Formats: sequence, C-alpha cells, structure tokens
Amino acid sequence: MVRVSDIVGALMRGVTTARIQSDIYSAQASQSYLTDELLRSYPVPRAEIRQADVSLKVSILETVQKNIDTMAIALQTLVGDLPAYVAKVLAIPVRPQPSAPAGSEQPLGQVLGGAAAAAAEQIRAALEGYVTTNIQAFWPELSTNPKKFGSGAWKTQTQGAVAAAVAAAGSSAAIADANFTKAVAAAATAWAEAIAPAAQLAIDLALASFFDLDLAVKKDQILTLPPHVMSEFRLTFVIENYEWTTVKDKQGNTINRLTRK
Amino acid sequence: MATPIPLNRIGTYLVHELVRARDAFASAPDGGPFAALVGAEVSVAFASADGLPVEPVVSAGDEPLPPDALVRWLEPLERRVLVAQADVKKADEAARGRLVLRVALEGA
Repeated sequence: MVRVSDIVGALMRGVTTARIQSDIYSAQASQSYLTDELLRSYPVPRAEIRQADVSLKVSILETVQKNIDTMAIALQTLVGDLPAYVAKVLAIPVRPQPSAPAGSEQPLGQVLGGAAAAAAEQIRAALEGYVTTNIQAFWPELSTNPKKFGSGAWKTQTQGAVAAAVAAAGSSAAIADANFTKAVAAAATAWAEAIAPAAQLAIDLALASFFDLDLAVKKDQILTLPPHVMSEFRLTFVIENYEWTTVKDKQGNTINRLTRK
Repeated sequence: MATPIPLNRIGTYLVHELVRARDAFASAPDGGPFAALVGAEVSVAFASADGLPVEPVVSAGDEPLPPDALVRWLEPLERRVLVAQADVKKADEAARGRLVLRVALEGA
C-alpha cells in the first residue's frame, strides 16, 4: 500500500540526495580546479537549490479499512444505554400488591422505595450480563429486526430481570399484571428500535475513522484515467544551503567554516 | 463500492499524513538539515455517497492554513463521500467534487 506520507517522504529524501550529490560533484570539481594552473583562480561552480515545488498527480485506488471490532462497538453502545433503559422500566406504573385496587398504581421504582436503587443496579447488571454473553448472536438479530427482537428475547430478559430484582427487594408488586407486562414489552421494543440505529451509527463512524488511502502513482496505473478522478499534490520544499566562510578563531588564526546561508 | 467516509475525515487524514511526513523527515538522521516541507496543496477528487449534487470545489480559501486551523475548518463537513477512483469514475458529474486543502507547514 502507498500512503500519502510514503510519497512525501520519498520526495523529500530525493531532494536531500540531490543536494548531497551536488556537493560531492562540487568537491570533486574543487580538486580539479586546485591542481590546474588557470582554473585555480576561478571560483568553483556550485549549484544551489533554495526551493523546490513538486507537483504530483495520483489516484486513490481504494480506501483501506483498518480492523474494527464491530461487536465491541455495538456492545459498548448497548451497555452504555442500559441505565436509561432500566430507569424507564422502573417508571412503569404497577400496583403495590396483586390485591391492591385498580387506580393504586405507582411507578415501580416508587413501589420499591428504598430498595429501588439496588433493584435498578440488579436489573442493569443482569441485562448487561445477558448482552455481553450473547452479543455475537444478539447484535445480528437486533440490527436486522429490532422490533421483533425487542418484543421477543429482549422483553423476556427484561421481565426476568425485573422479577428477580422485585423478589430480591422483598416486594410483592404486581408485576405479573397484564398492563405492567404490556408496558414492559412496549419499553423493550422502543429501546430496541432506538438503540439499533444508534449502535449502527457508532459502528459506521468507527469504520469511517479508521482507514488509509491507498494511492496509485505509477504511470501504468494512472495513464488511462480521466482527469476528473485524478488527485494532485503540490508540495513546497525549502532546502538549506551552506557556504564556506573565512573567519578568525580565538587565537587569531584564519580558518574556514561551513555556515548556513 | 467502498465504505463512505465523511469529507472532514478525508481532509483530516490528509493533513495528518502531511504533518507525519514532515515530522518524520525532520527527525531522520540522514534528513533534517537539508530539506523541509513547508507547504502543500492537495486536491482530492470525490463523489457524494448518496449520488446527490455537491459543490464542485470545497476549499478553505486561497491562503494556506496551519494544520490545526485546517482541521477545525474541516469539522463541519460531515457529508459522506467516496474517493476511490472506481467510485469517482462512475459517479454523475454533478455528484463529483474536489476537496482542496492548502496547508502551511513551516513552523506549525
């Protein structure tokens, strides 16, 4: 694969090599000038390149995706949203006991009273455990048909987790009521329908972030391409030049020193 | 068809690649003293992923900007595009555009 930085690096190396070769040639020429009676009074020719502008046409062969763990990204999104989901479940009205009259419904969290926080954490942990263990089967199903998944497996898991938490809290909330069961099913379906596109977006963004551009730079790769698919790089390099200067050292001796121009 | 990529990520990638090349060369034992990359103009052909029309040229202007300023300018460009030659080649003319970035790399 040819990256942009590979091409730029190669060009910079070429510029440096040109500078070195020019200096080597000048050094050889100076030897010849020194030994020649006539030439020794002439300045040694030396080429200087102060700036180079390089224009390069390339084409992007393809965008190369780096490895992305889509399951891990999906899992992160799902697990991150569980506390909000559990809060919605705990907000579903329910009768405090099966024998309580119709109209006595209160949010489940309120019915659980002081045990609500522990119950919320228990439900969240149970659902997280289920999601984490089953993500390989879970995500394809959720992403393909969120409504079916929400009203099926996810509703069942949620009801099971709620029942266990209510029992652990020592509550006799009427969670088997048809209205409560129906409301949990609705919450589970709504969650699945909302989280599936959110997780898919997170995966898409990750895929879009981790890529490389593979460039075509060889003549036979780009010669027949139409102009509208070509990309172009115009690069400006500056080259530092050096010259010999004659100076006196601390002892007053005349010395030659190579200094930047 | 390749994965559509937001235009700002294409631009940011290119800016990072230029900075990476400049910095790598500056610190190379056989490089540093002689040559330095001080500026670049990049023109990349793209096609909108949805096939809808795009601006023919997307650019921050004629003046080169330092890498960090250019990346900030790129941020809102969320349009998803395709840059692979095969995708650009077959796109409608109206759906094709160019991202033109002028980067000032000296001392940045």
